[in-house]
Amino acid sequence: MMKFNFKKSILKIPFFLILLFSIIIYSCRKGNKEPARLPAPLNDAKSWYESVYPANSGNSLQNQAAGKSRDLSQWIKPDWQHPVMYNRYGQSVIEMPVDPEAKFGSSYQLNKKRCNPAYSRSYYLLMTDGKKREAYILTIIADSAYINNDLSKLDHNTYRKHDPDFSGTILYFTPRGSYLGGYGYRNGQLMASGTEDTDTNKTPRVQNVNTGRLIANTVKQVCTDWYVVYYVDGVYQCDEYLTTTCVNVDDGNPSGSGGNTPPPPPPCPPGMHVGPPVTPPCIPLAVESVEGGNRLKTNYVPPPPPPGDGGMPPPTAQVCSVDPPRQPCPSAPDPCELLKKAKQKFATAFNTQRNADVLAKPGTNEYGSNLNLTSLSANTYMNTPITTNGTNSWMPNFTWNSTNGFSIGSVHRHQSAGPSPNDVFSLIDHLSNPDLVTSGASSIKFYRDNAYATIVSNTTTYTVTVSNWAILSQMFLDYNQDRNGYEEAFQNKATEYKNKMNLDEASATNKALMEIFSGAINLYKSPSNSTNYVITDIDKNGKLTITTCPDK
Amino acid sequence: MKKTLVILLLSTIGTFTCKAQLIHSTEDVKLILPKGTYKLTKQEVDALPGIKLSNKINQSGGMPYNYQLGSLYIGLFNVNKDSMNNDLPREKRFQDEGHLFLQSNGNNSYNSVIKRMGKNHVLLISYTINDTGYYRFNYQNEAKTFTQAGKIEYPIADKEKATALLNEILNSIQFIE
Repeated sequence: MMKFNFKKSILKIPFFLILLFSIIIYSCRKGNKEPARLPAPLNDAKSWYESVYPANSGNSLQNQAAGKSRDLSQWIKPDWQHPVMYNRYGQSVIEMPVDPEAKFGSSYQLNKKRCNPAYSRSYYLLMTDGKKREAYILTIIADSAYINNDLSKLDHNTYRKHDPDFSGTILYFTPRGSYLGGYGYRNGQLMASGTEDTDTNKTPRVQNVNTGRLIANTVKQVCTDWYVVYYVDGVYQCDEYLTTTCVNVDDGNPSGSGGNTPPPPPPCPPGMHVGPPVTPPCIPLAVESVEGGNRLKTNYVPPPPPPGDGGMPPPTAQVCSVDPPRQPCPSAPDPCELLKKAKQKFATAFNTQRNADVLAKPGTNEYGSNLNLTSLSANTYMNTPITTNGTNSWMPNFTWNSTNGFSIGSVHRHQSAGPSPNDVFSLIDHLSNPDLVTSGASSIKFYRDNAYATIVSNTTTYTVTVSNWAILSQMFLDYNQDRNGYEEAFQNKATEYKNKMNLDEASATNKALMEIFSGAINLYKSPSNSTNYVITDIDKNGKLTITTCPDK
Repeated sequence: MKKTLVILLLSTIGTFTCKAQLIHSTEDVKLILPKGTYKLTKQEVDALPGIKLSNKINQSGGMPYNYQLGSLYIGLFNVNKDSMNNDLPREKRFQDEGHLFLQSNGNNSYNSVIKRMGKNHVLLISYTINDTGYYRFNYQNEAKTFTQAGKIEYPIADKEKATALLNEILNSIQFIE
């Protein structure tokens, strides 16, 4: 049997006590100097946060310039020791309270009324989709009616969840203090977003029918200035103006859903909006008024759909931008100026003589001639021959070289009809000519800017130019599906107009042509052997129109 | 009783088997369309197979009177009483020029002729595009003051039927002068 040696044991006690004390001391020192090791994801997030939002000494809240949003990252930081990690909306979320060391508090001020900062909680949200990280500060400000003297209810509401009867406001900021937007809750339901509205018209609009008589009530706007207010240990430090929201009121009753807290302000200051700048439509030169009288602008924005998982709507990395001012619409090119410019090419003395020569050819066959410039810099034409295809249609022989000339135009004879689709499409058909294609972009542009087709008949000279190559290109695709079918449809249309409306051949074909090509081509016409051109088009009622220019 | 039944039976059979000819009649003309012809509504005309290249080119008021007989389409204009549309040589030139594209594209089916029919004249035009045959006609009275214009479109396989229909129409035209 073993014997207990009291003397030996007594001697060993101080040694154990010293050892135990040393362990305790060491443990305490370790706890004071180094925080507990963080899990890897949290450690990565912390490293990222501290690199993006480094704390700079001497840049405290009070030292920051007024008028700019306060850089909260220089004042507060996440409480890394109390993270809650979860996934939401496909993102890994780390939710942390604000480090209590800063004794930070925030709330909002509506006009001159400050909300109790005790009803507010702020959380850091660090989110990542595996590729990109973002950090936000979520401030949850509960209504006093919801709190009802039970501050513990604040703990029920975070990014991930909220009480079914939560009433209050949530605001999102960046760690640098930029306001990103917010949402209002009433009895657990999302409210419509507050909207900026600067219209101050006060217009009788709403009819009161309670008395049996119709009495015009006054609808006016009640506006609220929004501020975010910062506190340290419950003591006011500073506030910062966010924006102003307005709601319409009828006889003093808000037209919205009522209640103590208005919906939160939009994320952008007045005059700005979320997202990239949008170029507004131009201001038409003449605006047709469709509504009379002053109208009150309401700018109602419906509430967002609830997230559906019991949590708060997510923040968005919104960028506020200012739209460029509306500009007057550019006036459409003056058609007479266009005609004047085009005539420099198709109404030269050479053209007039060539038109007459083509018209003077004997018989009824189609005769025609290419109109080839000697060079792109000159306005002189080569003396090209007048040719015929016998009983067939005349076809231009396009060239684009210095030897045979540059075919910017052609002229051929018709017996009675005006230009046909084939005459129009020949202009675009030439764009695939190998000589033109290989001559380069500037040559092609020159061709597009100057191309024309002239058709002469016994009474009238027609010249077609292209006003919109893009539209014509699209139509050319249709034409190439079935050229015979396209021409037949055109001739059928013209025949119908001739028979039904007793139009002559020229008018019937002009009408059919412009019904098809209006917006893609310009159709000019003049009496034979004249350069007194007028502009032919079709109006919205399908009637042919003639525009005579001052300088014909 | 037996007689009554026989009469009733014959009447019923007659109703189902004896399709009456359709008379196209306006204040200026009367013509007979063969048995089985029926008038097309605008929706039916729009639904006809034809050239469907683009909305712009297919938009038109169409012909005032539209009929169908089997696979054959018949379109009729109102009678033209103006001088321009009573000038058959002029109309021929217009159509000849307007169809030059066919020959240029290698289609030699176009033919036009002004023929005498009794005391009257008719401009007859025929051609085919793809698988569709076309007859156009301008039938004119002796005084050259009334012209009934129209057209027939047909699948080329039904050319004989279309030709017979054309003759039947032309032979039945009676102007109300």
